[in-house]
Amino acid sequence: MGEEISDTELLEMFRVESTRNHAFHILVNKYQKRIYWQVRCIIIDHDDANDVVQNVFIKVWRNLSNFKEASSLYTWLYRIATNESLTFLKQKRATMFVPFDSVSRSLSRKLEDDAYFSGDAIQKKLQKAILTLPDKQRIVFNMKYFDNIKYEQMSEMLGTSVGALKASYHHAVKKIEVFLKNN
Amino acid sequence: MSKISDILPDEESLAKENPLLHSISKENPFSVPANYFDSLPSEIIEKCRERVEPKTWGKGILTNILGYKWRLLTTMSCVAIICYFSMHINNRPVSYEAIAKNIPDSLIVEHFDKNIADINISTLEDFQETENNSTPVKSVSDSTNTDQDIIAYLINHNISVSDLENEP
Repeated sequence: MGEEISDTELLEMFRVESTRNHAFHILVNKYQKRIYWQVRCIIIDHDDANDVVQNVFIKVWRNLSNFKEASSLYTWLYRIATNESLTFLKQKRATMFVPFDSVSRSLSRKLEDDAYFSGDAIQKKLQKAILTLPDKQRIVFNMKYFDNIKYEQMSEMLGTSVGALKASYHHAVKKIEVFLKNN
Repeated sequence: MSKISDILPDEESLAKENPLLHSISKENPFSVPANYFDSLPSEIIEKCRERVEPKTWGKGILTNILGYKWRLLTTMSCVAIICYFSMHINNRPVSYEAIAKNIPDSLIVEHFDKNIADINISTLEDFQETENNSTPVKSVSDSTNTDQDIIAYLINHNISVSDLENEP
C-alpha cells in the first residue's frame, strides 16, 4: 500500500493534521528496510541498529514538516540515517574511552558471535576487512560495492564531491584486498 | 590539470586488479529476527508518540530552572546575596544609645530602685558631670535665648527678681 503513494503525495498528507499519522505510517513501511540495512552495515549489531533506526524515524517525525524538498525524500532520510549511525559510533568511542581501532575490534568480535549473520566464512572475512576502514570510507565502500549507488547520487547523499568519493572507494578496495590476502 | 578521479582506474579495471574481492558474493550477509519488519513500524510510531508529547508549562519551567546553567546562576546569586548581607550586618557599629532608646524609663527606674545598694553613686555623679559638660547650659546672656528660656532658668535656679536687682 505504501509503495503506491509517491513521496510528494506522502508529504502533502503529512502536512495535513488529520492525515499526518497515516502518512507517517506509510513512510515508515516504505523506507524501513532500506534505512535499516544501511544502518546495520555501519553499526553491525542488530540491537544497536534497531535503536538507531528508531531514533532516525523519530527525527524524521519531528522534522518532516520542515523538509524543503531540495533533495529527494530518500536522500534526506539516508543523510539522517548516516549521521545518526556516525553519531552512535562516536558516542560509543567517547563512552568507552577507546580509539578507533578498538571499536572496530569490538564490532569485529560482535560479528563473530552474531546470531543474525547468515553469510559464509569469506563474507565474514570481508566484513571484518571493511571494519578496518575509517567510518566514511566504510560508508562509501558499502554504498558502491553492495548497493551499487552511482557516485553522483552518493555525492548528493553524503555531501562529498564525486572525485573524493572515487578516491575513497579506490583506497578502500586496495586496503580490503591487502587484508584479504594477509588474513 | 587532470583531476585525481580521472587518474583512478574505473570499476572494471579495479575489479580486474582485485580479483579476490570481486570474487566474493555481494549478497547481504546479515539477517534479522523473524517478523522484525512487521513489528518495527508500530514500535517506531509508539516511540514517536511517547517522545513528542507536549511539555506542560510547569514542566518546561522546572526543566529550565533545574538545567545546569540555571542551577549555577541561582547558586552564585544566592551566595552573593548571603555575602552582601552578612558583611553589611557585621560592619554595622553597635550603638548603646540606640539600645538604651528602646528601654522604657520605667524599667530603668525600677532597676535603680531594686539595685540601689549595689550602685556606686560616685560613678553616677561622674556620668552626670560628663553629661553636663557635653551639653553646656545655655548662658543667660546669650542673645539667642527667648524670654521663656530666661524665666525657666531663673525658676530652676531659685533666683528671685530682687537678687537680679542687687547685681552690680
